[in-house]
Parts: sequence; structure tokens; C-alpha cells
Amino acid sequence: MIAAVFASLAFSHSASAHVLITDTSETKGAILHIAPDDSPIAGQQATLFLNTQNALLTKKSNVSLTITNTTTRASDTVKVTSADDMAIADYTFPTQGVYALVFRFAAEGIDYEFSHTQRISRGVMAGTVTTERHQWAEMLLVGSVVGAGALVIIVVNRRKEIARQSTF
Amino acid sequence: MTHTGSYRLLNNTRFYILVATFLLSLGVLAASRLLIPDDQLFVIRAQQIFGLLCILYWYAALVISPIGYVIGKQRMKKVEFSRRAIGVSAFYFALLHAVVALWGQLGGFSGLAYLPQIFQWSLIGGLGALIILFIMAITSFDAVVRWMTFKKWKWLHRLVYIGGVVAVLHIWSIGTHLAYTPVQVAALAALIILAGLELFRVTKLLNQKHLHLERLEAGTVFLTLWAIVSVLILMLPFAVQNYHSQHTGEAKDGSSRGHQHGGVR
Repeated sequence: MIAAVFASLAFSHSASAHVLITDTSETKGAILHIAPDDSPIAGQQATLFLNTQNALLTKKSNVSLTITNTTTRASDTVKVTSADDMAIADYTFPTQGVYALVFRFAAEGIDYEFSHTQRISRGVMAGTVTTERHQWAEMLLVGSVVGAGALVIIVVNRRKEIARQSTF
Repeated sequence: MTHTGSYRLLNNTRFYILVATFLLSLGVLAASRLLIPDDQLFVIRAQQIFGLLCILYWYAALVISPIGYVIGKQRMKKVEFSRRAIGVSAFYFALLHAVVALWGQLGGFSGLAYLPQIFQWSLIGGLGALIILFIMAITSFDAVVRWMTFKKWKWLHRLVYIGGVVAVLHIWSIGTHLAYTPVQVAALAALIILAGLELFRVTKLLNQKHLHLERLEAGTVFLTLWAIVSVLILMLPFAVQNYHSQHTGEAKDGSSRGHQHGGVR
């Protein structure tokens, strides 16, 4: 099972989620949290929170956020509010698709850039959204359901012996 | 009826619980992958579901014994027999939860260094709870109980309560869904019920062995202790702030912040 989990993680292309991201120099980390439920809905407002490590951000930090649709290359600059060690931005993703988010700010004289790729898979659709087929998951689901069915049959068939033996 | 070794295994509820747990984990992984097209969200949800299943199994394992004291041990005899398998299943889901979080979300051990401090502390707590569950799991075999003697084994397995407290702190500090009030209410209610059942058992045993109080007096002691512990549990949200509550609080304030509803141009 552990191997299956590792395999499924390997097949899923993104690594960091809920979401640990590191700056481009890989010296600092931050958690990106997106409301609602880490899964924004296209056409509805989402709130993005960037919580940096070691209070890198302050209330006075000037943070910029650029959001780019990776298919159309259209980009938008989003207003960001800084609160303690957190940058907060409200944004409405116009359509489903894959977006590149880039947060930029300076702290202690050093420029930091945190990038993340976010897929929006709920809400307004633009054109055809391709979703990958996961055959391994289909087979695994069928296998586990069949296995559960077989287990129920065996348990029902042996219920008296099980009741007799399974006690202290 | 003669029993061979393998035949006995097929007549054992523990075996069926473990197999069902394994199948459930496969089903959860497959269903999550099929229902969630986004890779990143799939990893998040798999981690969350495995964590939730761990807690549900752990809670079930903890609650079985005290329920026996309330409704009569004889009625719970068969369920108590299954308890070790339920505990091992809790460890199994905790391990899956940790594996997905570490390699799926953090990109391995190196990712730990980049986390904000509250996450690092919370993950240390989670690791502690996982280690305790591991100790419980590897000592859950009959042969180990015989080797250790039941009395020592029982003392060792009381570590599960320490593990439970650490797990609650881990979940409460960074659990995403605990930012929502209904989930908080459900979690607090579950903890208060568990505390009530455990205290009922403890006061009953204490009374039988040492206190020798009358029924009304013993009931008063139990209710007083339960009220005190319930208040302590209800103080948990004030003592340990949920990391994500800060976000939801900010999100609620967001309406006054002046949004930029920027569409991608």
C-alpha cells in the first residue's frame, strides 16, 4: 500500500501542496493557502494567503502578485495586503485552467520571489478542459470493491465460526 | 472441528478488520484520484482523508473499553477482541497520512526546513503520535503480550492516551477543517464524550478499589470530574489557535479590505 501511495504521488506531477513553496533561491519557505478549500472556483472570488517562514513578511512589506494563465499567457497584477507574516490577496480566476502565481517582495535588502502553479478545475469553463485518465486508479477501485465484496461473502459464510473464535 | 493455522485466521475478526482497512485505503486512494482531476488537490485530499480515517479508528479503539463499563463488559466482549486490529489500522492510516504529507506535500524531509515554525512544532507532535501508534502496533501480537506479561503490556499501552493528547494538539494546530465552527463543535463533542466515558470507568474502578462511596456520592464525583475536564476541553480553542482559523478570520474581514476582482486579461 505504501508503494501504491508512492506510485500515485509519482504519477501526480506537482510536488508541493497546501502548499509549501520555496523562493527561487531556495533559501526561504512559505505556505500558500487558498480559500475555499485549496480549490478555487473559476468565476468566484478566491483568497490567497502566503505565510512566510521566520516572519519574512511584515505589515510594511510591499508584496506584488502576478497571476498568469499558462495557456493564453494573459496576466494580471493583483493587489496584495500585508498582515504580520502573511500576504493576502483576493482574486477571481476567470475560467478553469492552469495559472502561474508569482509573489515578489523585498525583505532585509534581499529580493524574494515565490512561484506556484495552480490548476483551477471548478467553475466557469473556457473551451475544452482536458482531464487526464488514470487507469491505475480505475483498476485499483474495481479491485478494492471486488475485494470488499469477496470479504463480505466470506464473513457471512463463516459468521458462526468467526463468532465462536473471535473472543477472549 | 479441527483448525489448521490458516483456517483459524479466517475465523478471526482481527484478520477481517485488517483486510477491510487495507481495501478501504486502496479504495480511498483510487476514488480520490478519479474524483479530483487536480494533482495537487488530490494529494491534499488523500492526506486529509487518511488522517481523518486514522482519527476515526483511533477514537473507536479508545472508546470500546469504556463503553464496556457502561453497558456491561460481556456485551462488548467480541468488539473488545477486535480492538487491537482497530488500533493497528489506526497506525496504518497514520503512516499513510504521514507518507502523503511528507513526500506528496513537502517533497521529502528537506521540505521540513522551509516550513513556518508552527508547522514544524505541529509535525513534531504528529511524529510523536505516530511513534506511539507504531509502538502500540508492534506490541499488539498475542506472543508479545505473553512475553511482556499482560500487566506490563497494559501499562505500555496506556501510552496511547499521551499519544492521543499529542495527536489532538497536532490536529488542532494545523488541521485545515478545524477552522470551521461545525467541525470544531463535532471534535469538542467527541472529546467530551470520550472523556466522560473514560472518567466513568476510572471513577467506577477507583470506587471499587479505594473510595467505597455510595452510588449517589460516586455519581457526584464522576459528574464533577467530567464537568471540570469538559471545561478544560472547551478551552482548547483558546489555548491552541488553529493556524487556518487565522486565514478564515482574514477571509471574513476581506469584505472590508477592498477586493480586486481581477480576471486574467
